[in-house]
Amino acid sequence: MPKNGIPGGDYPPGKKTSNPKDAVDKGPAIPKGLSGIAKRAGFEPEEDIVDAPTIAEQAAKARAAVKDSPAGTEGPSIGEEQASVRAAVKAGRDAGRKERTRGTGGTKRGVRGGKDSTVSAEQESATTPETNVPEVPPVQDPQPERVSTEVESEYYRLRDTNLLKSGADGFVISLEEFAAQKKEESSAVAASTEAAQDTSPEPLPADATPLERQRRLRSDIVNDAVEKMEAQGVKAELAKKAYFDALRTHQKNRGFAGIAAESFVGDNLLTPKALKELRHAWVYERALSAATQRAATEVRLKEKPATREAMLERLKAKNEAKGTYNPENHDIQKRYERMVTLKSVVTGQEEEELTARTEGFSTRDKKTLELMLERYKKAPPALRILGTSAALLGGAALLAGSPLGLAALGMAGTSAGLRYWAEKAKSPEMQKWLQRVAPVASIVGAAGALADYGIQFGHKIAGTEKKAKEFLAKKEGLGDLDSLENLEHISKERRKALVAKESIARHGRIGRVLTSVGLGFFLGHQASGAGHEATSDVSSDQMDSFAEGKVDYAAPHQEVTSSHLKTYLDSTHAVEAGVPASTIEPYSVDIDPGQGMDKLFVELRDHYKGIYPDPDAATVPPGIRHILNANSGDELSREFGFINNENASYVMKEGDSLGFDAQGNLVFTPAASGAQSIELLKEGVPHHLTAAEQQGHFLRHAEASMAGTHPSPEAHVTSATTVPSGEDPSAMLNRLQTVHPSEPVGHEEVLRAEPGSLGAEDIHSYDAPTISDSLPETSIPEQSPVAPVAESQPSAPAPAVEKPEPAPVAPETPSAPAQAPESVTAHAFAEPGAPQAMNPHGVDLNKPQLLVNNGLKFAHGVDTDDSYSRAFAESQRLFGEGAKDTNVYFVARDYDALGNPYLAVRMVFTPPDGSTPQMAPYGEGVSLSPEFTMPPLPKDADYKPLS
Amino acid sequence: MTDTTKFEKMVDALDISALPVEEQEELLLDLNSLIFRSSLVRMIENMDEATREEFSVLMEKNPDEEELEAFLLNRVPNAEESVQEAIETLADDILAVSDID
Repeated sequence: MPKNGIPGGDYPPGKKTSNPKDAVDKGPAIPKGLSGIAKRAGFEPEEDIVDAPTIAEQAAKARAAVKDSPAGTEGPSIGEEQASVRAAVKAGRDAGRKERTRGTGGTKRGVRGGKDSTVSAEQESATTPETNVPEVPPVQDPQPERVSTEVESEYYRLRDTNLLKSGADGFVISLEEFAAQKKEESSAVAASTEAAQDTSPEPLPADATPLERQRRLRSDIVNDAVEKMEAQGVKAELAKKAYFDALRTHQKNRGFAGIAAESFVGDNLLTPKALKELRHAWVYERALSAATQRAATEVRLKEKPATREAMLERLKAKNEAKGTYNPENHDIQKRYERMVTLKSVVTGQEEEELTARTEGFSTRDKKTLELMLERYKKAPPALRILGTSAALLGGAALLAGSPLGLAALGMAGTSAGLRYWAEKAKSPEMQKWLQRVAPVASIVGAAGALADYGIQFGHKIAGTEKKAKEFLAKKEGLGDLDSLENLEHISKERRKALVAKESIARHGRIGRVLTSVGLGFFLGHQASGAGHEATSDVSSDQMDSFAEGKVDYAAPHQEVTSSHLKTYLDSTHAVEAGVPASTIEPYSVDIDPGQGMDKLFVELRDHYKGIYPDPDAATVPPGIRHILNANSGDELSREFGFINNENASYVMKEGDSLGFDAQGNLVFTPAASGAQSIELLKEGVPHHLTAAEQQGHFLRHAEASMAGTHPSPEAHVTSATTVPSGEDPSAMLNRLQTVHPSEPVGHEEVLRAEPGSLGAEDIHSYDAPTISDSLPETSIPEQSPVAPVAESQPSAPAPAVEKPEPAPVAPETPSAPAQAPESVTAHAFAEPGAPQAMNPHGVDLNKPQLLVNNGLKFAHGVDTDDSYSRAFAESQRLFGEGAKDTNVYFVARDYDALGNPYLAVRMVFTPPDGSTPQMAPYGEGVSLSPEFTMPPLPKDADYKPLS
Repeated sequence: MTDTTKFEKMVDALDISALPVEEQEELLLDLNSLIFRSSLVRMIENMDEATREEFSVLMEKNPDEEELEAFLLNRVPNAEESVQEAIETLADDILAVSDID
């Protein structure tokens, strides 16, 4: 006797269920192929395929439970539904066959492997659905057929578990009615199969060409696969109806006592066994259905090469248009098809199941559920991907359900999404949502899905390190996750999320979630090697258990939270035990080119967050607490006056540093020689940079740059290092410029993308030669566009710092006259003559150029001083498809809050979906001196126009 | 108890890496929505009448996430198990219909 009453035995979850090849290639008859699938799926039988229970029999057993109401009393009868399904199948098949066959006739095609060996004699003798499907409930024969033992046991089993619905008279259907319905159902399946077999194509004419015969052969093979798929579809529908009807009955029959009992022991334990079996049968039929769908697809593709080629061509064209075509990625299509199947067979079906389950709810409960769902749907996608966590359960779902699997996938998808959405986020509302996602992400991270090592750690948990490496080695798939910059992004998100613990605390999250965050924090330190050895009571075994999802989240959870976390924190960070603030660890961070001030604050906060996990603890120095309690680095940048509220430019210059001294004061130390350090937070009291301090800082930086040693402390400084009170900054700039008109204007810049930006690892630095390196002093230096302007018009006005003009597109005419200094400043790349001279490769820089160097593209002469979209549109106009790349860097001038020019190196990236490329947010600019012009091209680099 | 092997297989079965990011997210949205609904249905089924009534009243007030979370975790028996069941059931079914060869 099969287990659970399902022929073939239990359906063990996780077993392989199907192989398309088996479903099609191993034989013409469906059951043979499918029974092979059943065997692989874990169903027991199959000593011999012929002797094994057939699919039809298995389906019949599952369908036996469907007879729970008299036909015609509640909606269409099963027979009617079957007839409908069959009619649709037949109509589709006939239509297809008309196209696939020629001529007239009616003999059976020769390709078919004969009659389905698994169709019973009873099924074989059944009439076609058109003639046999009753419109009304079947009338009992005067001498009813004897009900088989199998049907009888099925009937009583269902009746005993209250899974047989009451009929119109209020009583459950009788055994005879049940048997009749079962017979009808069997007939329907048999008729469906028979109809498929009987519809034979016309014979080929005697003079058919080999090509025609070949086409017929292919057509028949395809038809065969399609028929199998359709027949299995009917079976799946029947199994579904059997299960759903029983489910609805069960839901409606659940009394208050039953609910209370389920509440006590868990509903899973009290779900009737018969109902579980019906569900197993339903899943089983769906699995087979999915297998036949895949098989049919595969056969169609295989046997119709022209169609397949056409599909591949279309796919290729589509991907090429997106710029994502990868010739080595042939498997994507197949995988995609599988996902489509997955969606149609799993998610769609189970949504229906949920609907059926809720039918037993009261109106009030349905309304409650709807309110919850409505709330869920209102959340943005990022939150919904983590939806079981944030919108409703606050992390319980992901913590309880899975530190692995879906959680990891959810995090992966969200991480990819976060970056994409962050790039697109322009509205404060969206940014607010993104901020909300961050702490949620920390919860997922806390569950161990992803740590500072990003996907590697996640995969180490979910599987093996090898697998993680394979993922990382992939050039396709998981989109952003296989790129280093995205891993870095994930890491940053995680760090950001971890330091956002305080915001979670503010929201009053319950201890369980807080604890999980704490544990995640602990794991994060372990993973990132943050210098904290496992000194707590949380042993490595416990960690492993946690990582492997073996932690019991129920009762022991609280124990883990309080004791282990506290022990860990106490033992790791003795400072919590009351170390005086005056002995805190000094720590500072330096700014790198292209780095934003906000990142420094975040870096600083990350550091101290590791030392002071609880910012509200009495032992936390006030200055550090101030930093820890801030919502973002951006907020701190604005608070202390490092950022201009209008255009988000930063005052910070390369080499400046920010940090806490041993007394717990936050100190800003400019790199420029002679500059005074500024205490931004003294004893917890913040100090906002004054305008003079800001301007002075710029001027010192400008001086250092003009001295050619930007921004080295050894730079030659020729004027006051502070701005005289009340002096006009533009006048100061002008004075500085005219004081040094003939100074060598060497410029040493290191173009360095942030670690998290695309292609960062490929970017190399280059040094621009100083004038003295390459030019005679007596001539107008050809290698510098600045010197000639300065010499010819030494008294020219300074750049218009108040209203800097955007850098326009370079003029087309190489022989345009020299421009005034302000034009030099504003039109650095359009300057006539000089770029030609700078060009060692004969590149005409008098017009916008898209150049390539070491595999990277640099767009010159594009106005980036406007909106990103316009800048990109301009680049597209200028460079066409060439700029539609993932690594195009716009080399252009931009201005900070005070009108000082920057070399804005902005990345253009194409979103993963292939939509319109966009420019990365501002913040990667490199500070320039006011006289800065386009740095000379690399001396020996392969820096040439992109052909 | 979470079955690591099962989830490992499911990761393979989903083969999500083969999809464009857009569709990865779409799929994840589907799956999460399903888990969400499934968990909720289970939880509501597990509530006794009084709790259902209280929950209904709470929902009318449009509570914040913390209130909801606290209610569900504190008042609904086996709340976490309900979620776990929802996830595991889905995982089982994904494995059942997936060809992971």
